[in-house]
Amino acid sequence: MSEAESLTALAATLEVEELGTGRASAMVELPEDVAALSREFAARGWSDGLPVIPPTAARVEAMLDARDLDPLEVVAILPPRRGEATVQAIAVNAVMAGCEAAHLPALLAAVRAIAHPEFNLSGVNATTHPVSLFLLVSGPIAAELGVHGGSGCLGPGFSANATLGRALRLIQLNIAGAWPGCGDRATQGTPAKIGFCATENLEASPWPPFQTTRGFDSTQNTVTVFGCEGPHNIQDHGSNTALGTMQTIAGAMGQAGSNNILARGSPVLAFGPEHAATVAAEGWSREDVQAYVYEHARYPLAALSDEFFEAVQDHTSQGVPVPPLARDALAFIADGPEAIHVIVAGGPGKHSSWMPTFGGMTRPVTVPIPIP
Amino acid sequence: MTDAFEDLFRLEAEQRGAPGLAHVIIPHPLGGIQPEAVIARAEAATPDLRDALLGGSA
Repeated sequence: MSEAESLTALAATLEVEELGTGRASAMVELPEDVAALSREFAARGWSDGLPVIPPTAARVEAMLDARDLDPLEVVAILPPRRGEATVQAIAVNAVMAGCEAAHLPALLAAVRAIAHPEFNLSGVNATTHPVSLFLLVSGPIAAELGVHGGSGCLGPGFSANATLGRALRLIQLNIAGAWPGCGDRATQGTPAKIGFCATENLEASPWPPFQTTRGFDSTQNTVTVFGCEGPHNIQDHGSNTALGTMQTIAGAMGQAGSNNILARGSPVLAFGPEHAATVAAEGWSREDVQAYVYEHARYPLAALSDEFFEAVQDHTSQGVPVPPLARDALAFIADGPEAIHVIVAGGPGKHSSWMPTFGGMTRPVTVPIPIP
Repeated sequence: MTDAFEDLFRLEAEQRGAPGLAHVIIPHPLGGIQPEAVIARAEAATPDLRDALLGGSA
C-alpha cells in the first residue's frame, strides 16, 4: 500500500470510528451588542482576540440545517484538553469565525485531519516551535466556496480563506485548549496561527492538482492540513532558466534555523506561477522539482556549532532516528523527495515561498470532504 | 519536565485520566545551558526522581 493509499484508508477509518455522542454546547446569556459580546468572549478566553459573530442558537442551527448531520456526533477528540469536537461545537466556532454554512464540510474534514495520529496534534500544540495549521483546499469545491489561490492568496482580503483558517484556530483554542502559554507552548507564535488557508492557482499551474499527489483524483474535494510555519519568501527576479530558478529556491530552503534541518519532515514549497512556468517550460515535472530540492536544499553542518551538530545527531523523525551525518556533510531538510510538498499559488511576480514545518514530528494529512 | 511546562503536564495528565501521575519538575530551561549545569540539575532532581519511581507523586 502506498503512502497515499495508507492515508486514504486511515482517513476512511477515522470516519467510521465510533467516537460516540458528545455533550451539547452550553447556552449562556450574553450581551447582544457585537462589540460588548466580543469583549466578553475575549475576557472569558473564548476567542482569538478579534471580534466574533455571535454564535446564537439560530445561527448555529442555520449552519447545521443545511446538512444532514447529527449535532452531537463527536468528530474528534482534540488534545491537550481532549475536548470533544462535536459537529455542534465545530459549527459554533465556524459561526464565530464568520464562516458560511457551505464551509462546514471542509471544516469538518480539517478537524478530522488534525486529529489523525500522523499529524501529532499533541506535539504540535505542546511544542515551542511556531506551528500553524495550513489548510489547503483542493478540488472543485475550492472555487465553489470562494477559496482564493491567486494574487495575495496567503494574505488578507478573501473571506473563505480568512474565515476557514480562523475557524480551525478557534477550534484549537476553544475545543483543544491550545491556549498560548498553556495548551499552546509556542515561544513566540506566528501570525499564521490566526488563520492560514488557501487553494492552488490551478489555471496557472503547469502541474497536476496537489490532491493527485495524495492518492485522490483531480475531481475529488480534499483538505490537506500542514503543521508548518507561515510562508518564507523566495525572491528571484534574475533567473530565466529552470536550473537558475531552482538554485535560488533550494538555496532559500536549505537555511540554518529551521526545524527541518534538525528533524527533516515534510516542508511545503509554494511556487509563484511565474517561477513555476520558468521551471516547467524546460520540462521539469513536480517530481523533478522534488528530487532537485531534496538533493540541493541542504545546509553545511560545518557552518554550525559543535553543540548544534550533536543535537542533530540525536534527533528523530516520527520516532525514527535521523540517519547520522558527518561533521562536513550537508544536512537534509526532508525525509525524502516525496516528502517535499509542491503547490502553485499566487499571481504575477517573481516570488515563491516555502513553509518549514515542525520537522519530522508531524506529517501533513489529507482528508476527503464529504458533501452530504 | 521543566517548570515552564508543568501546567501543560497537569492538563494532559488530568484529561488522560492520570491526575496523580508521578513526575519530576526541574527548573527551565534545560536546553542552552552548560554541561556542568545539566549535571547539577540532575543531581538536584535525584531525590524527587527516587520518590517518583518508588511510587510517590513528586
